[in-house]
Amino acid sequence: MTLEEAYRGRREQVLKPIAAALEAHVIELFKDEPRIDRIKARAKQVDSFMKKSENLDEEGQKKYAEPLEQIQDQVGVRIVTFYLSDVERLDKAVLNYFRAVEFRAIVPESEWEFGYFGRHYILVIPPDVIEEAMDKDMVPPFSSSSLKPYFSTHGPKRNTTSATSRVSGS
Amino acid sequence: MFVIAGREGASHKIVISRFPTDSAIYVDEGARALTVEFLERVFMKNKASYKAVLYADRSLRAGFWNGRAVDKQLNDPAGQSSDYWISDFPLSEISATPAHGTRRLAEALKGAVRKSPLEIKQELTAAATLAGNLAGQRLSISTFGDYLRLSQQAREALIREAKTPRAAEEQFEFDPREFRNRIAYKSLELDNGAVLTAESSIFDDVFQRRVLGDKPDQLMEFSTRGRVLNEKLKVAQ
Repeated sequence: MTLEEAYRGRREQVLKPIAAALEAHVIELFKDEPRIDRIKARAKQVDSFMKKSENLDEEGQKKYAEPLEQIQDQVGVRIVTFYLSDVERLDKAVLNYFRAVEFRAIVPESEWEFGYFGRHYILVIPPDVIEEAMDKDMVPPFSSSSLKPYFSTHGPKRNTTSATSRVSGS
Repeated sequence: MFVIAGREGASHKIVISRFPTDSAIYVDEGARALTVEFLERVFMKNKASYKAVLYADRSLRAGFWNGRAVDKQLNDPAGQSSDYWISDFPLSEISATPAHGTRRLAEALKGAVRKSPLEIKQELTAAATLAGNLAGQRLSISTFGDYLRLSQQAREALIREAKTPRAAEEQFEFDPREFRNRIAYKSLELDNGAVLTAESSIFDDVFQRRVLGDKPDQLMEFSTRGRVLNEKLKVAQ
């Protein structure tokens, strides 16, 4: 089976149902939070996954020796809030309800540059969204999640928070 | 203490286990396999008393993010593992945050109370009231009943409310603040013998109050409107 066939099968059988369940789960968790514009989850498109799997590292070697296991944004969730000031508040809520194995603050170089202030996380996918019938070997451990404001009201900052990794046990 | 690494199907597995310090394990190394034996009559005090953690994943490069920990060296009826055996030694942590796990339990309690017959409803409501004493305890929806000695029916009603069986089994550290935010019953006792009870978030909506005097211990009149779902006489204690 080719990588593309394997990912296509995984996407249909596992990633799309997880994305739908995760979207509903996050909406429920954040239902009391004000000023959220929308919450959307998606399973990464096949062509996007394949393109990413071909990425090279600084030495010209393939970045992902095991793309199905190493690419962490196979399921993604985006929370869009209205203002930058809401990001700080929602950041606390995200970290209150999810284990983050990686965290990054996203900051554009200038206020007028394309981009946005926000947060990016790699979060443990909770068991609430993983059906018993799913093939566990196909279920990725993480989702890629972002928190972004619809409007930015503050000036630019350039410092970026470094990522940290954790192992989770249950 | 010993470490075993191996494969089962496509998965790599690593088991780290620790027995009482004067126990022993005999390993015979063959050409293609290791034979591991417990030497009970020689060293081992109690083969059932151990700590173990299992990590399994298909990928050696990117995996081993999830594991299972067992601690059989505790007297805790709910089987709560020691911090040493999760966070200090394997440098792991419980995968559910305290707030998420506690919220999941609170939602399960609310759902089970709504859907259960009166006896179970009362049992679960009492459990919700007592749950505040579980601060810092490590539990799951499945083991919550062990702490509060719930009936089998009440336990099953709770587990049915979890979104998936794995969500019911996932352990978390109980967070009383999150619990109070999600589930709290307010009860008001009057000097005429009446007791008014409702979920605190809706108490003032379902019970309208009118002040009938202007003294500190003034008379109050409460009124409410709804359909009777259950009615039962309770035997005096």
